[in-house]
Amino acid sequence: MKNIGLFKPLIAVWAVVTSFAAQADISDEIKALNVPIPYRDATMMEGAVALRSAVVAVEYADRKMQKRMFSRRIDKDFYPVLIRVTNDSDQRLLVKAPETYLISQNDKFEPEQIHRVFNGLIKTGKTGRALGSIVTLGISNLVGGNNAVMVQYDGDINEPLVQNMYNKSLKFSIVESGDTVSGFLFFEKKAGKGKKIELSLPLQYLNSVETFVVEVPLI
Amino acid sequence: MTADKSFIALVASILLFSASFPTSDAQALEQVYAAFEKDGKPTMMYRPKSTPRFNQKYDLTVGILPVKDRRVMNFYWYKDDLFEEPIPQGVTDSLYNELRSSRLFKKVTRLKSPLPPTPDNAALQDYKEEHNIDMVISADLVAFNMLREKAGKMTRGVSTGAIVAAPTRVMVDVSLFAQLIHLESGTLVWADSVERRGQAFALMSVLAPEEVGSLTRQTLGLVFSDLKMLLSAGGKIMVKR
Repeated sequence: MKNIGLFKPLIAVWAVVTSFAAQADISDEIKALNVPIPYRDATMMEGAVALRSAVVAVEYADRKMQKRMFSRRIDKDFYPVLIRVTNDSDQRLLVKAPETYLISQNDKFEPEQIHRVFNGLIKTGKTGRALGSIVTLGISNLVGGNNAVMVQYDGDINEPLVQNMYNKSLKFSIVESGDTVSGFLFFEKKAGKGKKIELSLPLQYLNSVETFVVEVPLI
Repeated sequence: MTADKSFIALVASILLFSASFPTSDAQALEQVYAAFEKDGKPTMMYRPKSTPRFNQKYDLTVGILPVKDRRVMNFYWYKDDLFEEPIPQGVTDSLYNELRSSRLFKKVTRLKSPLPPTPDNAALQDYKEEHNIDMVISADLVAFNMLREKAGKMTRGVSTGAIVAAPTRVMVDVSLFAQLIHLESGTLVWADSVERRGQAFALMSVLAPEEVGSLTRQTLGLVFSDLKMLLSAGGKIMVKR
């Protein structure tokens, strides 16, 4: 009976701590890595704004889209938006994504660099995750398991998440004539609080040095 | 010793033994950073290749503006200072070295002050006279990042049952957008982006700092080789009147 009494708290500790280690299951993130951003021409989107033959559409990435694209929610700490730019001209178009900003409640919000975003998304602290792995490995050994299960996750738990966010973020890019570029930008969460939110995106046609700005309301 | 005590001792010894294994990604990351601190940070600088040789395309003086950092994330996770030089500075220096040695321009100089915020003809003309140059190259660093992914799955040795780790693919992405502007006319003579991904395999998940340095320099070299090729083959031709 004494042994059973000792097992109860041990199992409780194991259940709590291994919940951290459970995050080591990277299969969802690998699946998300292979899910592309659905192709839509910006002209097909509601609320798209056209200026000088460049069409820009912006939408808030809702929870369903967050789960599908990144296998997790992002809106707890950030305000994710999906931007599509279609080039309807006969010139190449430069999208100056890092110079974009959101205007909400009379404040100006610049996009967050994605290493800040995924730092916030990886909820388990270093100690928690290490402890989770150690205890799981210990219990695994105790019940006759082997070390391979834990060792195979070493050092790569969040690499798919990093790659996925890197691949799907909107970058400083050239849009060929007739083509569409799309990607996510992540803003501070309070940027989403305003009743009227507007995105300001600088563009440049590559036959001139002039930059023009498209302002698009978020729906 | 009672059965309880021996059980506790067993669990404690297992936990201590387990602690000696490398565990989380956070720890692996710290190991990467620690290696850069211990072995010294690699340099981004390299000697530009002398081949292929280009014919002079512009009989004019070009100024190289400092490269603007437009990346979406740091070089590797939350660290950006893994090289001897700050990254935008290193890329600017490489751009200068490459264009100087290419002989595509009559003369190449370095500029410190940025272009006027509103680049109309009058402002560009003033800038030209102030710096005594004919053209400028303005470049934006779009990507300069290291990514890693497992290449295959962990396997077990046939006879020994020993675990064989899967190699890790380490990738260095470099992408640069550049534009060549003729100041007197305010013309965009050439603009394009170049990007390359260099990759290497690491058996122990992590490349040594000098290996990361070598992979980065190799990738940068390819990016600038593409850039010079595009600049030589494309772009408007300047005609003297």
